[in-house]
Amino acid sequence: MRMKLQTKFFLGILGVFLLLAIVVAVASINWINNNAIKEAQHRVELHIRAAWDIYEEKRMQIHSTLDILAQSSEIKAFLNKQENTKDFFSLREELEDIRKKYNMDLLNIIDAEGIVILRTRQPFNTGDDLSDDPLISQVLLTKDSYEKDIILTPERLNIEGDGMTEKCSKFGGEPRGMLTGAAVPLIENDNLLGVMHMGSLLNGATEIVDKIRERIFEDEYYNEKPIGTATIFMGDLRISTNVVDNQGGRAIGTRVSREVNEHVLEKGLPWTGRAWVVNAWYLSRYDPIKDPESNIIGMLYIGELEEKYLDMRTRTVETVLGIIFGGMLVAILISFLIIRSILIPIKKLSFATKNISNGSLSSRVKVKTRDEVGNFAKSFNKMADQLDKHEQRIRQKQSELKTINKELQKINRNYMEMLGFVSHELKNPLASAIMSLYTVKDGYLGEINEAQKKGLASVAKSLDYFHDMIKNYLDLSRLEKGELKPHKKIVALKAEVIDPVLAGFEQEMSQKKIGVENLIPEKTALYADSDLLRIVYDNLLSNAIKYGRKGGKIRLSVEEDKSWMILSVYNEGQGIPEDRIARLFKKFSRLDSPGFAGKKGTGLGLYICKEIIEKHGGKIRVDSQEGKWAKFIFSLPK
Amino acid sequence: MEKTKKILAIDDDLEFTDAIKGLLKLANYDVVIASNPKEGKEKFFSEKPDLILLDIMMDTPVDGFSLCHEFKTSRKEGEKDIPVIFVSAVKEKFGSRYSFTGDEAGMRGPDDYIDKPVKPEELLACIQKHLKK
Repeated sequence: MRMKLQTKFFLGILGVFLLLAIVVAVASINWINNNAIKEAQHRVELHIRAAWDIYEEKRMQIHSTLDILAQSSEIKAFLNKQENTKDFFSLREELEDIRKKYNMDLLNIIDAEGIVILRTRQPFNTGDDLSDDPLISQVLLTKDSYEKDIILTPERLNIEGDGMTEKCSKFGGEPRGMLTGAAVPLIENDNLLGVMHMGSLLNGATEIVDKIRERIFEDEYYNEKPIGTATIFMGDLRISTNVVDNQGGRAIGTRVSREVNEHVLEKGLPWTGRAWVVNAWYLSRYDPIKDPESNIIGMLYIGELEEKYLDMRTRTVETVLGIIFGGMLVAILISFLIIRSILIPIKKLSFATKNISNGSLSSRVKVKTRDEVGNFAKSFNKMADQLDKHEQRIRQKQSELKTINKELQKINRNYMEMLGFVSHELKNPLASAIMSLYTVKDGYLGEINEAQKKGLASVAKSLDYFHDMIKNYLDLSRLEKGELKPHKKIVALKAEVIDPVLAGFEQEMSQKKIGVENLIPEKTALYADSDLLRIVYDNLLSNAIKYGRKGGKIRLSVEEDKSWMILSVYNEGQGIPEDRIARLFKKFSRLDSPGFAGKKGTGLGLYICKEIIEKHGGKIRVDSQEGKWAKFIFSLPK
Repeated sequence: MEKTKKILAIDDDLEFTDAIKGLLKLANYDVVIASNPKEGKEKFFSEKPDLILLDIMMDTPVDGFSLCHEFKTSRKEGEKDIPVIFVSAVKEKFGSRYSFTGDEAGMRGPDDYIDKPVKPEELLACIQKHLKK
């Protein structure tokens, strides 16, 4: 692909920046992901501690209230069954007021044996044994106060108050209750008189969870969803929560996921992570809630809406990407300007170079910078100056040469014209001489004796040579004047070329007893100039006869392949010495060896043949075995 | 006995006409020589030759071509066509680009062409060939 230098530079820089931007973006997104989420999880872990504080605050409040109540002499007196004690009902009323005031679900007094002796809510329902109650039994055993959450069975709930089972069932569908509370020993003179127990059911309660939300998450909302939520589970059941269900109410009665269930309730381990809570993802924390015997009875959950963090992350990523790409744009713009400032002088140079290569040598570059490009431009201008001078010198020489050449051509043409004229003018007297000579020599004018015949034959030989010379010089002059241009047409090789030429040699051949083997088929046709082809065959046959062995054979043949006609003239005779072959087709090259007795050649025939064949687009060469035969082979395009 | 054939040779080269006159007489032909086209035309009508040997380039405005055309077209009804043979060196001078047989531009061409120089045998053979027709 062809690209401008500027584009290449620009794409290169763009590529580097893009790569850089991608790397930085990926790294920052990674970093944000790791840190933001980790940070959020860390915060959730901090928040759960605060949540536990709020959760336990409730129990501590109960504990403190009980501590104060336990100091009451009236209660101790009641337990000692002293005379001056208030009667059962007035004490019960007093305590029932306290229970209601603190919004407690139960307030019981149990004797040292674990038998309930006062149940403020159900004054007539006493006497049941609570020594198995995990909280009561703990206090009875240690004689120390204790606060913890416990599970209340449906039977127990029935005993503790009318409708309590129904209340618990209403908040979650399970007829059990989860009670947070405390129990304090009632002691007099180191004697354990009994236990006072107060507690509040968590089922359906909102106080703790809403406090958690209010204090930790400041009741904030995000996209109409609370940022923070808290839940108390009884087992895996939500019994107190501010997670909102799809109807907009509290999602009480829904259950926790199986994964959390296994991890927290079965293994007793805290669980931190993303959790799908009812209708949104929360970064969540679940902690197990244990009863006094360390049985896991429920979970405390807090969650922070993940959406907030995700959006924060998205915004951060957007900001980072914005900064990266903004910076990249600025960098690209700057590099573009720099590239341009570098390339403009180069462009000028390139333009000037093009001008020079197109021949306008006056082109120069105006580059003023003092850097490498500036130096380059200076050198360039110097070079252009030199070229310009050089070109002018060359032009001058050229015009001189042209003049000389013209003169030479004129001289050559004049010479060739003269040659043609002289040759032609020589022909007429020669014709008369030959006619007269042969009339005498051949005996038309009467018998002549052998000696006379021999003398005349010698004259005839000279005149024939003279004739050959004239013919060849005429051809040469036409060749050099450019007159011998092939006028191609379809030529019947045998009928139009070979036969007429052979007819001209009949007499000579019969004198030398040379036989012709003409292998050229009647139908062979060529696309050539028949007149010029006749000159070629005239010369080649004339040579074949001249240098042919007496009684020998001449063979004419033709072969053709896809695009060439290969023609050959073969003769038996002395052949051509190898060292002569190279010069054979040159002007004025003669075959005659010094001792050669036959007719003298003009040194032009083969040169003329070669010129004619080459003007047709063909080639000529010679094969020979010295002393035996010679074969001229030439090709013509079809 | 066959009548002796008469040959008219028109050529401005007197050496050449002398040479062929001797040869043709010995070969039993009547020979009439004309050294220019005007004379040739007169002799053509007066002598009524059986065959004409004609040079092409003569030092006159009229050349062999137009003369040949005239001879060929002057034949009257019932008269025999007289063979005309060009005997000339012109072929090589013009690179043989003349059409000697065709009738370009409406010219009647000759019956044959002999290139100068010619040897007696060839000339006689050519004449015999055309007289036999």
